[in-house]
Amino acid sequence: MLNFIARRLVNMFFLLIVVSFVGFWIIQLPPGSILDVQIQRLRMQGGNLPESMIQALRDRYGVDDPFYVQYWKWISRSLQGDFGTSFETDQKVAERIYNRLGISFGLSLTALLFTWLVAIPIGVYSATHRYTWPDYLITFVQFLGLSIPGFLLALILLIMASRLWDQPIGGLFSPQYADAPWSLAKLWDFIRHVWIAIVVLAIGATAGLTRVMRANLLDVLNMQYIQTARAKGLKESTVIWKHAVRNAIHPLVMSLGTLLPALVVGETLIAIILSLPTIGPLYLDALRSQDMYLAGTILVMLSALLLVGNLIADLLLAWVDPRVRLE
Amino acid sequence: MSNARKLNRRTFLRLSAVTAASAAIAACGGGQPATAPTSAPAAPQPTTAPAAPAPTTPPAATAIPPVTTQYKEAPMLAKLVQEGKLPPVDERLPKNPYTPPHSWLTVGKYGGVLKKTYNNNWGITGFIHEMQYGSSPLRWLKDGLAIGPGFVESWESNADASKWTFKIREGIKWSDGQPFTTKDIMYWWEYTVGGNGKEKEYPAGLKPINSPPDEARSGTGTLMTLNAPDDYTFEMVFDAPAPLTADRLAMWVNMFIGPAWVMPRHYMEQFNPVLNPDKYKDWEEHQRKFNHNNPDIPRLTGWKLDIFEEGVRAVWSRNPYYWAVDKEGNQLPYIDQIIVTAVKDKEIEKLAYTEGRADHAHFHGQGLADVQSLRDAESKSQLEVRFWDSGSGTGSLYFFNMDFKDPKMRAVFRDPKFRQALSHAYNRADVQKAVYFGLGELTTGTFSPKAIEYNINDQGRQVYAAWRDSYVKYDPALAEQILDEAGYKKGPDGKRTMPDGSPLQIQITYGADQAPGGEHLSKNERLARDWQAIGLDAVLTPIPGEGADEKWRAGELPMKTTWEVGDGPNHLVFPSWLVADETERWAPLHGRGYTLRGTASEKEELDKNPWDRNPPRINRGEPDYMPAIAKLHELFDKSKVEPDAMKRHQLVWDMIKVHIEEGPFFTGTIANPPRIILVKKGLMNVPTRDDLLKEGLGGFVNPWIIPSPAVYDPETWYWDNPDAHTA
Repeated sequence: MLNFIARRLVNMFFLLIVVSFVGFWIIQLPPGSILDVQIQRLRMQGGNLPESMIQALRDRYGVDDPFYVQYWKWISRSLQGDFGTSFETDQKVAERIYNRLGISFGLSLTALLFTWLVAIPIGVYSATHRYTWPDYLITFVQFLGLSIPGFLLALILLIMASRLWDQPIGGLFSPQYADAPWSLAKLWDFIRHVWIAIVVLAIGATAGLTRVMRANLLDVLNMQYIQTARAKGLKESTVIWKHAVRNAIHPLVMSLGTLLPALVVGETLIAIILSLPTIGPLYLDALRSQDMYLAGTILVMLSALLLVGNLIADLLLAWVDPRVRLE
Repeated sequence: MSNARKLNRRTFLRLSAVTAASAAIAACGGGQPATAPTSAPAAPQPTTAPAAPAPTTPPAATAIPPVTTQYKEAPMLAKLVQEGKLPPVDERLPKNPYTPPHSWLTVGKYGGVLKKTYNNNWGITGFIHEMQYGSSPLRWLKDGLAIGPGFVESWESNADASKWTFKIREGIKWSDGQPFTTKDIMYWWEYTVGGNGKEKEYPAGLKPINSPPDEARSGTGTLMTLNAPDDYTFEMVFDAPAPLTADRLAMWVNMFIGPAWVMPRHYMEQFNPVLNPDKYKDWEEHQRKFNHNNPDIPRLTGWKLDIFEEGVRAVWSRNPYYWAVDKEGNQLPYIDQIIVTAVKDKEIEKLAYTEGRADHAHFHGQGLADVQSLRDAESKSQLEVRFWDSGSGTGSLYFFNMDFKDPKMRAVFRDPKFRQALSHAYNRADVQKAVYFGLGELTTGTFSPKAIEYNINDQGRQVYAAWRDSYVKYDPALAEQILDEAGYKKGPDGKRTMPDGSPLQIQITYGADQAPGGEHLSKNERLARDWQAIGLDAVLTPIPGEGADEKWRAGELPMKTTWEVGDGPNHLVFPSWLVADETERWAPLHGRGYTLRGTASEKEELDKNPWDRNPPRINRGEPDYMPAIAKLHELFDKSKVEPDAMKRHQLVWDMIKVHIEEGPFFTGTIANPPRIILVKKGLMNVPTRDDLLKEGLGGFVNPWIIPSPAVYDPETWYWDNPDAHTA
């Protein structure tokens, strides 16, 4: 077991180096650089930038360096824990990511918990009461949830919140609470802002997950060992929760593998609309403006999360299902 | 922040006084490592230290009865003065404070918050800095027709404009209370630009972080020497006339946008790799600190940044040391705070306006297409839609690459007849109606109609009209006739060919990231339609991303179609549209050749084809050097060393003549469409277009070098009812 984990971790390290190299290469593939973005911004609507200033910017960002020089500059320092400076704001890359990591994780984890807590019981209920009117109702709501795009729902809720409850557009706090120390009033203000995000994030996921749970459970319920369990006189709740659900939940556990990175950037579109300071929009901006160090660092972070997530999923699966062997 | 620092200093002063009683004063003063790096700027205070604990700042214990001061201040500052946390207003202001001179100004009320929103990171700090003119030595007034004092109160030059002397207002202070002197300018020049030969003293391998701006060069291109005879005087000494120096010092808001000119030496010194070679090997930390999003850096502007949360918000509060007063002696600004919220999406920003969640918007986010929805929401949002003139000379424009690599296509582009015919084939009125809502005036494409050369006298006005109308007429028949006569005849398939009969395709290139339905693409679609109508094979060709610049400079792209000319206030401070002097516009290889004149590269790679050189360039006198450009370069070189303003205008008119005869080199649509300004009801002293017309030209908001709205002093804006506008 320990051997297995150690081996995976070592592999992971080398894999990350390769990923970072390839990722960095791909990020800089499109023509142009952060410089063009900066220049374009200054030039907006006919503004101007003297040649001398452009040259100074070129030197500063090192955009004339070949790709491998840029990569080496970044990776050699990253290994020492310094991820460099974001071109866009001149802040430390680590600082920019760190500032947003908490909100990203907090938001996604809350939405995830919400999703699982709702989706698994409903899915089970729906499967065990197949073709009854509650099942039809649940199915109807699920398809509604699946088919409304998250960004549209976010927009609608945003306008509702502004018109009905006089809330500012987007963000996580009202201005008067932004600097205040934490208090009940501030917490309430925070909840008033954050619920939109959580509802939007959770609704789509819940609908999907409930469908998966329902389908899996229906498969399992037809298995012979369920019949056996029932035949030997086990309580129905034991049959469902101990024998059926435990076997039906595999796909959910396996989805954990991809879940960790999704936790960090999964909400990108919604975060953009709700103006939430999370990692997703940051990553998108960094890629678009070729803020190389920032984009590269987030990419490596996401890859690391993916690998760690897969490792955890493997371990978890072995725990849930004794048939799985790690060696 | 600044309060905390002040207390520390006071405690330090007390401490040093105590120590002074038991030990030698000199030993104490020299032995404090903490003050060593800042000893120069902090000079006034340590000199008073031995006498008594901090007599300059009122001690907290002694309550001072309100004294009548010459100037008045905001209640929030008066309170701090009462509490002894801030020196009285008379001491905070310079001997001769600045008073904004605009005719529309009324005396305002203190207080309130201005709420703003931006859909990008840069906006919440960069654009707020762009609103404030406080770091600029001189200021544009009357939409660029005049130059007034800034932190420099008087200036003069010698007869041939080769030596300029500037006087700074005595007693200006940084937002942390430290005096602002010529040392802060010399620091920028010597320790970041490496001027006055200081670059030689830099540690090995370290290059200057800033390059010398245009105003640091004379008409012949050599660098100035910058002298500071005393704390309040600086001189710029050139080897040849530098007639545009004052204009250029008025350009930009400076500090973080445009050339810096001022840097708070006492703060920046500690991060400078030249001065701290052991601690810093590069400029990274210096650059990080010298940034509009750094709340710690002292400023000269009306508001200073208190809080910056990237991607969330920025909070700016009044600078208690801002060195301007209104005409009754009230210190500016009137408004206590600017709170800027970041949103991520342009449409969400618009939603914030229609829902009335912001108090003011400059035109950057909103275009003419948004007017209707903004107006519809006016009763609810309380945001009044105002229009200021953009000063654009072209609207959305197009131009061909005179230095296109393919020789046959290049010959076509370089043929004035071809370009003139295409201009006549272009139905501008249609674009004006569809894209600009019928606003602006049709134009062939000129510099900004606000430019001084067009407004100074009748001759100037005629020159403008002649250029504007030169090829503006929509006349497809005439266009076809010109093309036929010039040899671009129609082939059997109805498509026009090159004079030698080979196929002719015009690729209308633009960045693939251009918003569909936006100003530029709507124009391009109509352009293609109009050109196809006269038998040209014109195709819309999106090219990847924003990264086409390299290809353009190498002559590999045929057209640029998503830009506009907004320059002024005179043609010569930013002449690039007029003469090929850089690589981004209509003759990139000529431009590169021009920038490299007099350097070693002018003599290198002469055996190579201009397009194979590194960097690609065309030198003067070579076969590919266009005669029209030669004429422009020659006139331009003369203008650079001509001290007489009227003669310079004449040279500009001569250059325009070349554009009329051999042009058009760039082709516009309409001149001077308005820009949208949103102003909350009750926000006073924000000029209307009529106010601007009375004094200047009705606005000139496009160029960054006449920074708008900074030129209209937002520090004078106030709420008619400040209590209704709190956070």
